[in-house]
Amino acid sequence: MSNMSMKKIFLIDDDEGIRDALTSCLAYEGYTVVACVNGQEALSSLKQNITELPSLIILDLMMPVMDGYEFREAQLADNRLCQIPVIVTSAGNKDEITNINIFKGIYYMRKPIDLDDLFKIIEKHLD
Amino acid sequence: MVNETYLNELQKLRRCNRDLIALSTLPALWTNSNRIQIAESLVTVLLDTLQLDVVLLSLKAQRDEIPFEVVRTKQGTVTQNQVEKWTTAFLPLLKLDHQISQSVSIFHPFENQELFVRNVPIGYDGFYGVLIAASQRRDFPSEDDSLLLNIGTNQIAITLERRRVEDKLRDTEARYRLATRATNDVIWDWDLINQSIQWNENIEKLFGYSLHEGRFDTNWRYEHIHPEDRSRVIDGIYRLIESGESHWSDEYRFLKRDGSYAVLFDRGYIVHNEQGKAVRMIGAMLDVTQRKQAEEIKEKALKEARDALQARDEFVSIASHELKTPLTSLHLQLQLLGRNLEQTKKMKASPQEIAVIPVEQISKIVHSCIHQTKKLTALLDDLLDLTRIRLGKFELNLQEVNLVRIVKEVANRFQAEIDKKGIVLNIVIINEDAIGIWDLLRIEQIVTNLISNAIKYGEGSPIDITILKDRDFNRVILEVKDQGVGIPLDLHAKIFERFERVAKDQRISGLGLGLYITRQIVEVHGGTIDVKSEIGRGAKFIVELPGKL
Repeated sequence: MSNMSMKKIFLIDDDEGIRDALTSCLAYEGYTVVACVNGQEALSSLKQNITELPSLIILDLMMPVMDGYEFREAQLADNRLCQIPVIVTSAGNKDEITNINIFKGIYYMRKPIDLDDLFKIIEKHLD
Repeated sequence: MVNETYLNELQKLRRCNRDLIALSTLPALWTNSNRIQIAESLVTVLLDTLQLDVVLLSLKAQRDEIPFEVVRTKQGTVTQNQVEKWTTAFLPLLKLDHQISQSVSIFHPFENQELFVRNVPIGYDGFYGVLIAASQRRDFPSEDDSLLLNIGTNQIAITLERRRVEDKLRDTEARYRLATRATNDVIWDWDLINQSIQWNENIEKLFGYSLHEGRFDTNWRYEHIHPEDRSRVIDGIYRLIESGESHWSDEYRFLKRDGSYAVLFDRGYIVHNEQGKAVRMIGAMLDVTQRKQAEEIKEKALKEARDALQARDEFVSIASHELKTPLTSLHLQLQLLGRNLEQTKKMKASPQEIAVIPVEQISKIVHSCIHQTKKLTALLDDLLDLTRIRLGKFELNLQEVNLVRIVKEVANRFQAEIDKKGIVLNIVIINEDAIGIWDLLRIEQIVTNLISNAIKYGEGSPIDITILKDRDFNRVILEVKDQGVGIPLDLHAKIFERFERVAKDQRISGLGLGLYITRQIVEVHGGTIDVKSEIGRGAKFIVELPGKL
């Protein structure tokens, strides 16, 4: 078990299988995970618990209702949420976010996700 | 006696007058005669009127006609042998460099007498030939003789000249006709002063208008240009006329007699008079309808090919995204299990503490992995079906199947999912014996696809399934109805195509192959599939399959 326990991570992905698997993996590593089906659900959850903001957001791009792009715009528009670091995961290519301003400096992880890489990136972000 | 001399002179004058009239009427008589007939006629008339002993007419070769000589003597026609003798006798005089103004004398080749001879060219410099007249009269040729000989040769020269010009004109016309026939163009000759237009016969061949039917003037022409093209074409012509330029061309539609339009490429040349005024325009219409159609077909095919390629590219992108999703979940969970195993080895703890992750949790993960592999399999099956359909290798394993049983079984498989989503599923069975000779697994696939769509697009609304029979046509009917997003009318046909999805949007998961495959299965069974839907009012899919007889 990691000693950085109880750090909170928001996971936003429309696929149930991926949500469940990632939640298990992150929990195994000692993180508290809040999983959301789409951007909108995540946004309202974040705004409701504004005093307990997560340390990191793992964001999928293609989702119904509110996709990753829309979520990121909304996040940046909110001065309390905009500071939360984001990792983008997608089944597509990195060019999905290159040259898009709202994703400047954001780390991109291509699916299927390598757990070693993911944990390294998370630790780097949380340090 | 003064009177006798006077009378003699008068008689001579009368005779001369009569001869003149005889000679001047000759061209009218020659209208339908050939060159030999004309030559014989002139020779005979001159022989008689001038009371000559011999007349020889030699005509040169003209165009495709051969040279020949005609000889008449006062004894009548002569043999071919005699013609040659006379020709030899007159030989120096036939060459016009020996042209004489006064007569010379030669010896008669057959009789012992002297003949006085005169040669006269026919046409300028003897272009058409030479006439030779001979008489025993010592005063030959008198002034009257010369006059009449000149008039006679003039008549034949004029006739031959006119024929030559007419032949040339005929040639030109024939060439023109041949050329227009060869080009297939409709040739028009437009008089800009009185607005009349002369057309060639191709107007009938290409457009169906008979030239005998009426006046095809400027107005007629304008009226037959397609209304959408008319003002542009007419303005273009007049702009060009005003600009003083000579070459015009345009492409437009022209009404044919059968009511259809031909696409024309029309070109014209404007003729100006000495004052620079446009007086005439000559042009040719080329029918490019077929070429246009071929171009359109080609462009359409090209666009379809491009669209198909683009659709395929999009599909490949969607497919890889869809395949990666279960793969990601699977990969994550296998990594998790792997890490757990490593951790366990390191700990070297007692057996009951081996599982860092509780056993129940591991079991859940394994189940989830199996579920993800099933999802992958289903996606790959769809892809395989797509290939099978494309290659025409859709084989059926036919057996007696009851649709009611299949629907119940499939609905059962969805039970957990619909319970979880709080969906109400109603199955109404009107006929229990909904039996047909079908491929069991394929019919299962149809039912699965339709129910899965109703769940996906129904947005949690109730799903109604009805099974009935149409006894008149011996059809088994399956209806699957949801009350969800619905499908806009213009997409009703498209949803059964490959790679189509109502939400043309990558955010809705799935390959977009379900309804395409479903339609293929239904059709290969001899059935039909239809949809009734409006946007926001749900969708009802109706499948009709042939029932067992």
